Amino acid sequence: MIPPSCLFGLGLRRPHHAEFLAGRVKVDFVEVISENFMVDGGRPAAVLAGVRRHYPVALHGVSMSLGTATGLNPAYLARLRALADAIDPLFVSDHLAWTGIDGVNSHDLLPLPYSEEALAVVARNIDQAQAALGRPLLIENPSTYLDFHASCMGEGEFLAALVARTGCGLLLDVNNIHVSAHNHGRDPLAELAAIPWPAVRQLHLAGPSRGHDGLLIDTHDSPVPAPVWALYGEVRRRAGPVAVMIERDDDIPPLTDLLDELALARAPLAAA
Amino acid sequence: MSGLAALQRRFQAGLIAGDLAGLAAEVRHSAGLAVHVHAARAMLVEGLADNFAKTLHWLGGDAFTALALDYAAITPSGSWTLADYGDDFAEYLRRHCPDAPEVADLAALDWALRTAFAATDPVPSDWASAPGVDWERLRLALAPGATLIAMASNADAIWQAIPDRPIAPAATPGVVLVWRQRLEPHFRRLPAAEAGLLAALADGLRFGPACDASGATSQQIGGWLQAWLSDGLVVPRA
Repeated sequence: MIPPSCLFGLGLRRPHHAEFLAGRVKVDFVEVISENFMVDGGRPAAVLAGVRRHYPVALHGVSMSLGTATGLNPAYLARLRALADAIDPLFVSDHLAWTGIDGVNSHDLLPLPYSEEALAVVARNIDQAQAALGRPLLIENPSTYLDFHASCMGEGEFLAALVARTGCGLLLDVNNIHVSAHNHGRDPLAELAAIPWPAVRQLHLAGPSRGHDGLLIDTHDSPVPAPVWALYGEVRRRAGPVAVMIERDDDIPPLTDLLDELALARAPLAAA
Repeated sequence: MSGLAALQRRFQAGLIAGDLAGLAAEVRHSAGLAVHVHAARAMLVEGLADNFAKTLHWLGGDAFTALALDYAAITPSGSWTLADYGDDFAEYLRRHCPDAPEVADLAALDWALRTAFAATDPVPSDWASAPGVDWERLRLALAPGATLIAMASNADAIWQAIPDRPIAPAATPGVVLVWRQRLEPHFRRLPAAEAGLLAALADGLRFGPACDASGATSQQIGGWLQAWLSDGLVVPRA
């Protein structure tokens, strides 16, 4: 059974702004990239306000840099807080990753060693963010392409410890589980064992691409592939009521294509 | 320094240098290091391509990418958004393409339009008709997002012509004004006298003395001021 309170949504991308602004798109919520709307004014602010009139909005960040050892950027948090206060978001989320240190931003989601030291750093940063934002964060599992020898626990174990220490929720990216499991030669189903399921609030679905050396790359530029759909079924069986969305950031197709994919996500589990 | 901070500084230095081989002993699957080297550089180049779309079109993809890669290698991003990346890209192009000044001018125009796009929303312009405005002593400022670009070329005409019709670059020095009206960024080339007065006001000169120094007639200034107010281009200086 699909829990009656599941929500199904799409990301707000530029080619589809007009349809969302008109309120014509049959989705339960819209997710936006937070940083695209942490601006002073103009069209981005007007678009978000217009979309918010029709849909609940989830704020999904890519530059909070929760893994940075020297702490978070207070100016970033203040600007995100102002945005969140303005739109009353469904969720505020960011990644289990770091993007830079000492004031530099690589704009890439960089991997962390899953060590006790990193756990303490990320937990401290999540505490800082949740205090600054006045609301809980959802933390997304990343796609990873390497493992550090310094890691002493698995990703699920690391996420479970963060949930226990900070009270944060989780945004589980099903594609990222698939990508990371493939890249590290692990069984994706085994990766689900350590996930603290009651903390999972949102799911992402996306399609990767194949890079050099046989690695899968989290590019969000293709439809959700069969292995991700299969894993999604397993995830949905374990998760409670969640908000599910298709995440597409490149080679963006017509909205009808994404709604067709979302219909697959809505389908009863046996058919998903 | 913590072990994690040291690791992150080494990782970041490797990303900026385009070589993470020094971290190979720290990781399993060292092929994954190359993914991050590529992604970090590609993100910056894509950011520039997005922020300087007309410059990209004018230069062509290969030439633009070569310049963007070179710029990215020496210019880390310090912002939480790539929309802020490239604030001195036009100056970089001016140094690297000295024989084609229209390239830097195009980039300056791309950047100004990008900046205006998400600038603070303007205050209502009815302040000018309120009673008691002391125009003689008034100090004005350009509205948020408005800027004056000193151009050496006809890049403003090239910008408008891209991508529909070819236009040859030419040396046509002048000043181009960029501003946002409601949600849309605009630009127009200014007559020299109007540009001089607007630049003096933007520099903080009082309205009366700036007008006197401009050499323009009252009729000219009245016409310009009417247009500036209609466009929401000037605001009282705080």
